Amino acid sequence: MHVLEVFVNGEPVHTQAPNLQAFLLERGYALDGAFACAVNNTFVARGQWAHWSLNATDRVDVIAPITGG
Amino acid sequence: MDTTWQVGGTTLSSRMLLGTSHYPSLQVMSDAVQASATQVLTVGLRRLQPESGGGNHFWQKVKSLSCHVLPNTAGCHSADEAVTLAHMAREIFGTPWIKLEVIGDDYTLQPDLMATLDAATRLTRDGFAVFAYTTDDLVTAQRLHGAGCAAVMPWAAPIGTGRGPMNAYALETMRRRLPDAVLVVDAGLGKPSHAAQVMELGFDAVLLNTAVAQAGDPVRMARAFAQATAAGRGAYESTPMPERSAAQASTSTVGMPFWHAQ
Repeated sequence: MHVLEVFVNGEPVHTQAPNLQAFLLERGYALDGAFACAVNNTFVARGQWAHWSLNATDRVDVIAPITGG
Repeated sequence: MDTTWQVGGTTLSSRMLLGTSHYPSLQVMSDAVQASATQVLTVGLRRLQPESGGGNHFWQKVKSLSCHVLPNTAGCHSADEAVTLAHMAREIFGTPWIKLEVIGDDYTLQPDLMATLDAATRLTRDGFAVFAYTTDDLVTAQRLHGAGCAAVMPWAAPIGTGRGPMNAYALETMRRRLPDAVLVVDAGLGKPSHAAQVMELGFDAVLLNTAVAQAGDPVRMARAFAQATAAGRGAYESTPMPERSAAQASTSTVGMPFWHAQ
Protein backbone atom coordinates (compact mmCIF):
# COMPACT_ATOMS: atom_id res chain seq x y z
CA MET A 1 0.00 0.00 0.00
CA HIS A 2 1.26 3.44 -0.94
CA VAL A 3 2.25 5.74 1.92
CA LEU A 4 0.98 9.29 1.60
CA GLU A 5 1.94 12.42 3.43
CA VAL A 6 -1.16 14.47 4.17
CA PHE A 7 -1.97 17.23 6.62
CA VAL A 8 -4.57 16.96 9.31
CA ASN A 9 -5.47 20.22 11.01
CA GLY A 10 -2.23 21.62 9.64
CA GLU A 11 0.03 18.85 10.94
CA PRO A 12 1.84 16.54 8.51
CA VAL A 13 1.15 12.83 8.97
CA HIS A 14 1.81 9.66 6.99
CA THR A 15 -1.01 7.31 6.16
CA GLN A 16 -1.88 4.25 4.17
CA ALA A 17 -5.60 4.67 4.75
CA PRO A 18 -7.55 3.95 1.56
CA ASN A 19 -10.16 6.62 2.22
CA LEU A 20 -11.11 9.48 4.50
CA GLN A 21 -13.15 7.32 6.86
CA ALA A 22 -10.29 4.90 7.37
CA PHE A 23 -7.95 7.84 7.86
CA LEU A 24 -10.15 9.33 10.57
CA LEU A 25 -10.31 5.99 12.37
CA GLU A 26 -6.56 5.65 12.06
CA ARG A 27 -6.11 9.08 13.66
CA GLY A 28 -8.31 8.13 16.59
CA TYR A 29 -11.53 9.99 15.78
CA ALA A 30 -14.75 8.34 16.91
CA LEU A 31 -16.87 8.25 13.79
CA ASP A 32 -20.09 8.96 15.67
CA GLY A 33 -18.63 12.12 17.20
CA ALA A 34 -19.95 15.65 16.67
CA PHE A 35 -17.49 16.76 14.02
CA ALA A 36 -17.29 17.47 10.32
CA CYS A 37 -14.56 17.27 7.70
CA ALA A 38 -13.19 19.27 4.85
CA VAL A 39 -10.45 18.27 2.43
CA ASN A 40 -8.53 21.04 0.70
CA ASN A 41 -11.12 23.52 2.01
CA THR A 42 -13.99 21.58 0.44
CA PHE A 43 -16.68 20.18 2.71
CA VAL A 44 -16.91 16.40 2.58
CA ALA A 45 -20.26 15.14 3.83
CA ARG A 46 -20.23 12.26 6.29
CA GLY A 47 -21.87 9.98 3.75
CA GLN A 48 -18.90 10.45 1.40
CA TRP A 49 -16.15 9.63 3.88
CA ALA A 50 -15.93 5.95 3.01
CA HIS A 51 -15.63 6.75 -0.69
CA TRP A 52 -13.32 9.76 -0.52
CA SER A 53 -9.77 8.85 -1.55
CA LEU A 54 -6.90 10.88 -0.18
CA ASN A 55 -4.03 12.16 -2.27
CA ALA A 56 -0.55 13.28 -1.31
CA THR A 57 -0.46 16.75 0.30
CA ASP A 58 -4.23 16.77 0.89
CA ARG A 59 -5.22 19.05 3.72
CA VAL A 60 -7.80 17.49 6.01
CA ASP A 61 -9.62 19.70 8.50
CA VAL A 62 -11.68 18.19 11.29
CA ILE A 63 -13.84 20.63 13.21
CA ALA A 64 -16.09 20.40 16.24
CA PRO A 65 -18.29 22.68 18.38
CA ILE A 66 -16.71 25.14 20.77
CA THR A 67 -18.02 28.13 22.66
CA GLY A 68 -18.77 31.08 20.41
CA GLY A 69 -20.45 34.45 20.22
CA MET B 1 -47.09 40.26 27.39
CA ASP B 2 -44.13 40.12 25.02
CA THR B 3 -44.97 39.63 21.37
CA THR B 4 -43.43 36.83 19.39
CA TRP B 5 -41.29 37.22 16.30
CA GLN B 6 -40.22 35.01 13.45
CA VAL B 7 -36.76 34.34 12.11
CA GLY B 8 -35.40 31.56 9.94
CA GLY B 9 -38.76 29.81 9.85
CA THR B 10 -39.09 29.72 13.64
CA THR B 11 -41.32 31.65 16.03
CA LEU B 12 -39.57 32.93 19.14
CA SER B 13 -40.77 34.72 22.23
CA SER B 14 -37.39 35.82 23.60
CA ARG B 15 -35.78 38.66 21.69
CA MET B 16 -32.35 38.09 23.15
CA LEU B 17 -29.85 35.78 21.47
CA LEU B 18 -26.92 34.78 23.63
CA GLY B 19 -23.36 33.69 22.96
CA THR B 20 -21.63 30.88 24.81
CA SER B 21 -18.08 32.24 25.07
CA HIS B 22 -15.98 33.71 27.87
CA TYR B 23 -18.06 32.53 30.85
CA PRO B 24 -16.19 31.65 34.03
CA SER B 25 -17.49 28.09 33.73
CA LEU B 26 -19.99 25.98 31.84
CA GLN B 27 -22.23 26.00 34.89
CA VAL B 28 -22.30 29.79 34.97
CA MET B 29 -23.05 29.79 31.25
CA SER B 30 -25.91 27.38 31.82
CA ASP B 31 -27.30 29.47 34.69
CA ALA B 32 -27.04 32.65 32.64
CA VAL B 33 -28.86 31.04 29.75
CA GLN B 34 -31.69 30.01 32.02
CA ALA B 35 -31.83 33.41 33.72
CA SER B 36 -32.08 35.16 30.35
CA ALA B 37 -34.78 32.79 29.06
CA THR B 38 -33.07 33.04 25.69
CA GLN B 39 -34.12 30.55 23.05
CA VAL B 40 -31.11 30.92 20.75
CA LEU B 41 -27.47 30.19 21.56
CA THR B 42 -24.55 30.92 19.29
CA VAL B 43 -21.70 28.43 19.08
CA GLY B 44 -18.38 28.31 17.27
CA LEU B 45 -16.37 25.69 15.41
CA ARG B 46 -12.69 24.92 15.65
CA ARG B 47 -10.25 22.21 14.72
CA LEU B 48 -10.63 19.05 16.73
CA GLN B 49 -7.74 16.93 17.92
CA PRO B 50 -8.83 13.34 18.55
CA GLU B 51 -7.35 13.31 22.05
CA SER B 52 -9.26 16.44 23.06
CA GLY B 53 -12.54 14.70 23.60
CA GLY B 54 -14.20 16.52 20.77
CA GLY B 55 -15.55 19.40 22.76
CA ASN B 56 -18.29 17.04 23.71
CA HIS B 57 -18.70 18.31 27.27
CA PHE B 58 -19.54 21.76 25.97
CA TRP B 59 -21.79 20.42 23.24
CA GLN B 60 -23.63 18.13 25.63
CA LYS B 61 -24.24 21.09 27.94
CA VAL B 62 -25.58 23.21 25.09
CA LYS B 63 -27.88 20.42 23.98
CA SER B 64 -29.21 20.05 27.51
CA LEU B 65 -30.37 23.68 27.46
CA SER B 66 -32.93 22.94 24.72
CA CYS B 67 -32.26 26.13 22.78
CA HIS B 68 -32.02 26.67 19.06
CA VAL B 69 -28.38 26.60 18.03
CA LEU B 70 -26.94 29.30 15.81
CA PRO B 71 -23.46 28.24 14.67
CA ASN B 72 -21.13 30.99 13.54
CA THR B 73 -18.36 31.32 10.98
CA ALA B 74 -16.22 33.43 13.29
CA GLY B 75 -12.61 33.62 12.26
CA CYS B 76 -13.27 33.27 8.55
CA HIS B 77 -11.56 35.82 6.33
CA SER B 78 -13.00 34.89 2.95
CA ALA B 79 -16.34 33.95 1.47
CA ASP B 80 -14.98 30.53 0.50
CA GLU B 81 -13.92 29.77 4.07
CA ALA B 82 -17.27 30.87 5.43
CA VAL B 83 -19.25 28.82 2.92
CA THR B 84 -17.24 25.69 3.68
CA LEU B 85 -17.56 26.18 7.42
CA ALA B 86 -21.30 26.76 7.09
CA HIS B 87 -21.72 23.44 5.32
CA MET B 88 -19.72 21.73 8.07
CA ALA B 89 -21.86 23.40 10.70
CA ARG B 90 -25.07 22.29 9.02
CA GLU B 91 -23.94 18.68 9.16
CA ILE B 92 -22.84 18.83 12.80
CA PHE B 93 -25.80 20.73 14.21
CA GLY B 94 -28.51 19.65 11.82
CA THR B 95 -29.72 23.20 11.30
CA PRO B 96 -29.75 25.45 8.25
CA TRP B 97 -29.16 28.45 10.52
CA ILE B 98 -25.77 30.10 10.17
CA LYS B 99 -24.43 33.26 11.71
CA LEU B 100 -22.31 34.54 8.88
CA GLU B 101 -19.17 36.38 9.91
CA VAL B 102 -16.41 37.22 7.46
CA ILE B 103 -13.83 39.40 9.11
CA GLY B 104 -12.13 42.07 7.04
CA ASP B 105 -9.97 43.76 9.63
CA ASP B 106 -8.40 41.90 12.52
CA TYR B 107 -7.93 44.96 14.70
CA THR B 108 -11.53 46.15 14.70
CA LEU B 109 -13.08 42.80 13.71
CA GLN B 110 -14.99 44.82 11.15
CA PRO B 111 -16.68 42.50 8.68
CA ASP B 112 -15.63 42.35 5.05
CA LEU B 113 -18.93 43.50 3.60
CA MET B 114 -18.27 42.44 0.02
CA ALA B 115 -17.18 38.95 1.06
CA THR B 116 -20.13 38.76 3.46
CA LEU B 117 -22.55 39.58 0.66
CA ASP B 118 -20.87 37.05 -1.63
CA ALA B 119 -21.09 34.31 0.99
CA ALA B 120 -24.65 35.24 1.95
CA THR B 121 -25.76 35.00 -1.66
CA ARG B 122 -24.20 31.56 -2.06
CA LEU B 123 -25.48 30.24 1.24
CA THR B 124 -29.07 31.36 0.76
CA ARG B 125 -28.96 29.66 -2.63
CA ASP B 126 -27.79 26.50 -0.83
CA GLY B 127 -30.79 26.61 1.48
CA PHE B 128 -29.25 28.21 4.55
CA ALA B 129 -31.03 30.66 6.81
CA VAL B 130 -28.32 33.28 6.96
CA PHE B 131 -27.97 35.60 9.93
CA ALA B 132 -25.51 38.09 8.48
CA TYR B 133 -23.21 40.05 10.77
CA THR B 134 -22.57 43.46 9.24
CA THR B 135 -21.86 47.07 10.10
CA ASP B 136 -24.45 49.83 10.26
CA ASP B 137 -23.97 50.53 6.53
CA LEU B 138 -27.45 50.91 5.08
CA VAL B 139 -26.75 49.87 1.51
CA THR B 140 -25.00 46.68 2.58
CA ALA B 141 -27.94 45.87 4.80
CA GLN B 142 -30.28 46.41 1.86
CA ARG B 143 -28.18 44.09 -0.31
CA LEU B 144 -28.05 41.41 2.37
CA HIS B 145 -31.80 41.60 2.80
CA GLY B 146 -32.22 41.46 -0.95
CA ALA B 147 -30.00 38.38 -1.08
CA GLY B 148 -32.53 36.61 1.12
CA CYS B 149 -30.84 36.67 4.51
CA ALA B 150 -33.05 35.48 7.35
CA ALA B 151 -31.71 38.29 9.51
CA VAL B 152 -29.46 41.26 8.96
CA MET B 153 -27.37 41.93 12.04
CA PRO B 154 -25.63 45.30 12.23
CA TRP B 155 -23.11 45.98 14.94
CA ALA B 156 -23.74 48.60 17.58
CA ALA B 157 -19.98 48.86 18.04
CA PRO B 158 -17.03 46.55 17.38
CA ILE B 159 -17.25 43.07 18.88
CA GLY B 160 -16.41 42.89 22.54
CA THR B 161 -16.07 46.62 23.11
CA GLY B 162 -19.28 47.08 25.09
CA ARG B 163 -19.49 50.68 23.93
CA GLY B 164 -23.14 50.56 22.93
CA PRO B 165 -24.65 52.14 19.81
CA MET B 166 -21.91 54.27 18.24
CA ASN B 167 -24.23 55.53 15.53
CA ALA B 168 -27.81 55.37 16.67
CA TYR B 169 -28.84 57.52 13.73
CA ALA B 170 -27.56 54.91 11.27
CA LEU B 171 -29.36 52.13 13.13
CA GLU B 172 -32.58 54.13 13.25
CA THR B 173 -32.30 54.84 9.53
CA MET B 174 -31.71 51.18 8.77
CA ARG B 175 -34.84 50.23 10.68
CA ARG B 176 -36.87 52.85 8.87
CA ARG B 177 -35.53 51.93 5.42
CA LEU B 178 -35.91 48.16 5.91
CA PRO B 179 -39.28 47.84 7.59
CA ASP B 180 -39.80 44.25 6.44
CA ALA B 181 -36.35 42.88 7.28
CA VAL B 182 -35.57 40.99 10.46
CA LEU B 183 -32.95 43.23 12.06
CA VAL B 184 -30.91 42.09 15.04
CA VAL B 185 -28.27 44.25 16.68
CA ASP B 186 -25.22 42.07 17.08
CA ALA B 187 -22.03 43.08 18.84
CA GLY B 188 -20.89 46.03 20.87
CA LEU B 189 -23.61 46.10 23.51
CA GLY B 190 -22.22 46.51 27.00
CA LYS B 191 -25.09 47.45 29.27
CA PRO B 192 -28.78 46.65 29.44
CA SER B 193 -29.58 50.27 28.62
CA HIS B 194 -27.85 49.74 25.26
CA ALA B 195 -30.16 46.84 24.53
CA ALA B 196 -33.19 48.88 25.55
CA GLN B 197 -32.06 51.75 23.34
CA VAL B 198 -31.83 49.70 20.15
CA MET B 199 -35.01 47.79 20.92
CA GLU B 200 -36.80 51.13 21.30
CA LEU B 201 -35.67 51.89 17.74
CA GLY B 202 -37.63 48.87 16.57
CA PHE B 203 -34.97 46.23 16.17
CA ASP B 204 -36.37 42.74 16.33
CA ALA B 205 -33.81 41.38 18.76
CA VAL B 206 -30.32 41.73 20.19
CA LEU B 207 -27.44 39.29 20.17
CA LEU B 208 -24.80 39.57 22.86
CA ASN B 209 -22.18 37.57 24.63
CA THR B 210 -19.31 39.40 26.31
CA ALA B 211 -21.54 41.86 28.15
CA VAL B 212 -23.10 38.96 30.01
CA ALA B 213 -20.21 36.52 30.20
CA GLN B 214 -17.68 39.08 31.45
CA ALA B 215 -19.98 40.78 33.94
CA GLY B 216 -19.17 40.47 37.62
CA ASP B 217 -22.33 38.43 38.01
CA PRO B 218 -23.18 36.94 34.62
CA VAL B 219 -26.41 35.37 35.78
CA ARG B 220 -27.89 38.60 37.12
CA MET B 221 -26.62 40.47 34.09
CA ALA B 222 -28.29 37.96 31.78
CA ARG B 223 -31.58 38.59 33.54
CA ALA B 224 -31.04 42.36 33.42
CA PHE B 225 -30.42 42.24 29.69
CA ALA B 226 -33.51 40.15 29.13
CA GLN B 227 -35.61 42.63 31.08
CA ALA B 228 -34.11 45.60 29.24
CA THR B 229 -34.65 43.94 25.88
CA ALA B 230 -38.28 43.25 26.69
CA ALA B 231 -38.72 46.77 28.06
CA GLY B 232 -37.28 48.31 24.91
CA ARG B 233 -39.54 46.25 22.71
CA GLY B 234 -42.54 47.12 24.84
CA ALA B 235 -41.69 50.80 24.51
CA TYR B 236 -41.37 50.51 20.72
CA GLU B 237 -44.69 48.75 20.41
CA SER B 238 -46.31 51.34 22.68
CA THR B 239 -45.20 54.20 20.37
CA PRO B 240 -43.17 56.65 22.43
CA MET B 241 -44.36 60.22 22.61
CA PRO B 242 -42.83 62.66 20.16
CA GLU B 243 -40.02 64.83 21.42
CA ARG B 244 -40.87 68.50 21.89
CA SER B 245 -38.61 71.49 21.91
CA ALA B 246 -40.54 73.32 24.62
CA ALA B 247 -41.72 72.37 28.08
CA GLN B 248 -45.34 71.47 28.56
CA ALA B 249 -46.87 71.13 32.02
CA SER B 250 -47.98 67.69 33.01
CA THR B 251 -50.51 68.97 35.49
CA SER B 252 -53.48 70.93 34.18
CA THR B 253 -53.54 74.59 35.07
CA VAL B 254 -57.35 74.71 34.90
CA GLY B 255 -58.74 75.50 38.33
CA MET B 256 -55.35 76.34 39.73
CA PRO B 257 -55.77 78.53 42.82
CA PHE B 258 -53.85 81.78 42.90
CA TRP B 259 -53.12 81.31 39.21
CA HIS B 260 -51.47 84.48 38.10
CA ALA B 261 -53.82 86.45 40.29
CA GLN B 262 -53.24 90.09 39.56
